[in-house]
Amino acid sequence: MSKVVLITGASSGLGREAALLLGEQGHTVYAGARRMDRLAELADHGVHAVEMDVSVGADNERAVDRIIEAEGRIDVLINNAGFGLYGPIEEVPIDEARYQFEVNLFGLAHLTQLVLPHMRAQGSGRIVNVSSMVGRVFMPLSAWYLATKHALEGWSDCLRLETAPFGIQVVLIEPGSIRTEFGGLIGGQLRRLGGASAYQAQIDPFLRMLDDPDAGFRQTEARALAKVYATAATARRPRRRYVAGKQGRSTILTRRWLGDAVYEFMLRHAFRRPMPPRTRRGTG
Amino acid sequence: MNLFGLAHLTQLVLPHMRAQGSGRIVNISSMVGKVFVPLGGWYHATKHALEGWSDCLRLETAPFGIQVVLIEPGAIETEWGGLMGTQLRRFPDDSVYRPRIEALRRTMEDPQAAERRTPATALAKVYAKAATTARPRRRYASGKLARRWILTRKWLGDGAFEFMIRRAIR
Repeated sequence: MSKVVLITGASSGLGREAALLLGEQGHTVYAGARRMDRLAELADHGVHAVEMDVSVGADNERAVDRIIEAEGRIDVLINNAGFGLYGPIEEVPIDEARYQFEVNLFGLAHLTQLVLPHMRAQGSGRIVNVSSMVGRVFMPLSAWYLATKHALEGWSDCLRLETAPFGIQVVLIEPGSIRTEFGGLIGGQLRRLGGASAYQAQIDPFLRMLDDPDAGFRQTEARALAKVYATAATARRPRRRYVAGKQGRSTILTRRWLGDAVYEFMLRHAFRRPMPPRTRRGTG
Repeated sequence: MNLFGLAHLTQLVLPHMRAQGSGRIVNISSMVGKVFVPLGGWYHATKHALEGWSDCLRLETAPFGIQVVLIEPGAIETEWGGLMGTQLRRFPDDSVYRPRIEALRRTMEDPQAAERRTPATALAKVYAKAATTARPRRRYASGKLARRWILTRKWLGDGAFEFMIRRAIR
């Protein structure tokens, strides 16, 4: 059955691929983002472009009103918009941390609040929240980003319990390492500290890992993840969580079954040395 | 929010601890940093966030001799429960979530539940240990329900945990 879907952060990366795929599958897709020029191309594929910044309340209201006016319903909200704030805890200004939460959590929460009354009235609906593998595990230099994703995990679990009696389903997607613009943006942020950080000895290996020409082979294509988005958005009986993409499942399961100490040992090891080349792993 | 104030204070002490080459940061999380119950969405969010944030802080500051410890209290005898009841009463009587709100209030105000809480003095010992022991653990889950709920979710999975929570609060 064709569904009315709103997906945020659709101008690039995973959001863009998912919007295109859901459109191809015959769903009515509203793709939200700040950068209208980049949404224009999606419009050529029959996807409705919505100019919105999830951290701006009026934008969220306008987007939901427009969809209800045009379609009379909203079946799926995919909260995909977000970014990663990287840097050592001691040196990242608290105001930047607040903005990270504004975008990754509070904006998403406001948009969710706006669609819930419609979904309750329909007696059905689905909220798909895009978390990350760092919603379940931890890494250095990404405290504020992973704080928003950890928070989103617990918040979504709670939302699922609260809205289930109204026929509303809540699904989490936890992407691993995906080939998008994300890695490049992190590198830019870490370099911004200018090499004078007290934490430089940790930043340098991190940057080396990002710049490793082999890193690309250890990433999943965004297009492959779009299928997971589509499943999470439309499967009749969705799972609570979809872990998808390279390193996602292995890191989460390592921590869960072997414990924090083993996980931490593995992590320190991984960040100390360059990753082994792809050929030795025997994968491709 | 529970997190930004704590983060700022941490930022202020870190340079001193780095200069000393030693120091310890004890962050008080909660069992809901690891599990979930209905109607606590924002509280859970801050405590889940604090868990991940502290893990990251531990990694970043370990090279400077700084230790980071989490305490995850369960159901403790403090004013906390009463404050929560007041908050829940604040929502309109005709809230569509009223049946859930009443169920949670009944569970909280059940006199038997009060007996099942751990006295605050017992937790104080855990705080002291986390703050002063030579080799602290990463996490201290302590107080009634904390270990049981956290381990249920970890070993039996989300499905079993959710079933248990629905049964407990209704």
